[in-house]
Amino acid sequence: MQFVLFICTDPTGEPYDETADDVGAWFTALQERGTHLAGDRLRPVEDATTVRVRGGERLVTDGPFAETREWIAGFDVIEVADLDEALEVAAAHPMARFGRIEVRPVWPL
Amino acid sequence: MEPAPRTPTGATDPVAAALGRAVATDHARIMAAVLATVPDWQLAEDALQDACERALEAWSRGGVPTSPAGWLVTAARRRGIDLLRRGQGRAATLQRYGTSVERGMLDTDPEPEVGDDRLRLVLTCAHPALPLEARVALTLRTVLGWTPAEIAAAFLATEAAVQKRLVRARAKIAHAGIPYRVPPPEELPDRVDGVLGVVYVVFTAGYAGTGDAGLMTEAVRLARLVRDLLDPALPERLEASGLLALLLAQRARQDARLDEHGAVVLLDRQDRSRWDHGAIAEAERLVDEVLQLAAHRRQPVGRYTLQAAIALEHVRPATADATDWPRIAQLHALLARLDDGPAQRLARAVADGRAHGPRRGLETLDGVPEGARTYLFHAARADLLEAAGRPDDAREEYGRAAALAPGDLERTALTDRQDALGEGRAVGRRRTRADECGAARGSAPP
Repeated sequence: MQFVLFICTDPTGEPYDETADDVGAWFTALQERGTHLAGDRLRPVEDATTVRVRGGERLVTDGPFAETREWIAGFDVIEVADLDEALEVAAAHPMARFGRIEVRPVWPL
Repeated sequence: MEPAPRTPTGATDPVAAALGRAVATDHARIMAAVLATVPDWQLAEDALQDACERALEAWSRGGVPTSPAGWLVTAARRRGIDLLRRGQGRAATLQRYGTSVERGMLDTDPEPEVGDDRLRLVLTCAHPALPLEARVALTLRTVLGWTPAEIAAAFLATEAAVQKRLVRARAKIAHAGIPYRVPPPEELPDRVDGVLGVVYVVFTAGYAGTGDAGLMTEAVRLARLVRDLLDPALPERLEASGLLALLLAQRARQDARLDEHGAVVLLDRQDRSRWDHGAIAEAERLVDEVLQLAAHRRQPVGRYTLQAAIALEHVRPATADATDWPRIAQLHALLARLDDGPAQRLARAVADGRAHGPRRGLETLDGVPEGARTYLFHAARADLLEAAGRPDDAREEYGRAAALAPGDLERTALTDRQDALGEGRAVGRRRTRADECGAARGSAPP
């Protein structure tokens, strides 16, 4: 099953500590297992642009679609057996401590 | 010792009665066996429903089979595979299992083995990816075989709402990829904890909510099942035993808890001869066993076991006056390391007050956050202030408690205490109804 991990910031998480950020090791371990399909960091929300088409008219606005204190800082697409394995992979990501991770199954067309 | 599981009402016809018995006693076993072949929860549910309908007809004609549960499993598996073949499963299920259906790999055995697959059933129903109320509904439906109407009645919800909750939960199991398995040992503590949480919710709904004795009995049955399904060597089994002991100890007082008008009788005034002493003895045995094993394995004692030990301290003495408050305070101190929530702290404060004097009780109460100061908090604090010889403060505190009291009965009890203190007149410690109310409610439910 494919899952997308939305790597989110969360003010209730532990304060970010660069020395404890072992995302490289996390990534390497997944690659070795053949579990990681795609993923990257995302530029901060200041660099986000939202587009909408309303009544045939294209509307472009600055910023994310919702103003919140939490935003998506990255994403990963993984291939695992089931939700439990996806949760195990997500829990090992450093941002599970500094922020939080939303785990969503891919819904193939 | 255990009362028989729920027997469906109105089943005068022997065939319907046999079916009802099979479903009520063996639902978990049947459903687990069906799910082993038909991996979609909704499809398995529908297939079993269908099998039950067919059973009524077939058994009326050909007699009740020697193994009604085995018959139901075979019929439900056949129906489920049939539905799968006709493409009625969810896309997600078909994607994962569709090929094996085509290849006939999911065919029914001629003699289905109704083995014991119940642990993974119980654990999956309580998966943390499901919302708590869905876990509760799914457990009652799938493990204990309750109908949605019975669940609705017990939890004061509509049948439609319960149905919707169940359908959504089954859909999430399929779509979110919730596995049907017993998790590896490192995940087991959390998962068993989740199951015990569901058992506790079921019990509390009967104990504190609807006062439904059947619900409590079913919670005890579920607690017993969970305990029996866990290997005795597993560390998680200790808390399952602790929870069973807690439920037994609390339910043991059920008959004496309410008077003929349905009003709560406080612990001190309950007729102790009406308690279920067999259940209390079993709870004692369980707690002793857990404490021994925990000491032997150097494993910390869990919260349910500690709560059970506290409940037993309240019921062990022959009279309320003989209660060993220092021991209760000690147990509360241990429990506070695991759970220091407002309700727990309130109970601990009452025990501290009784064991070590009102000042200690007041100190413990100070830790209850402002937002969590219920009428019980103020009632307990007023009582402690009165015992500490601070009548003016106590009077004020009774006023706060009375203002927040949920009903007239409670309010009157509090204003009576307030009035008894008089205007600026020091009154010695005397025990009245609200005093006992605070003590009994605080440390163990009445």
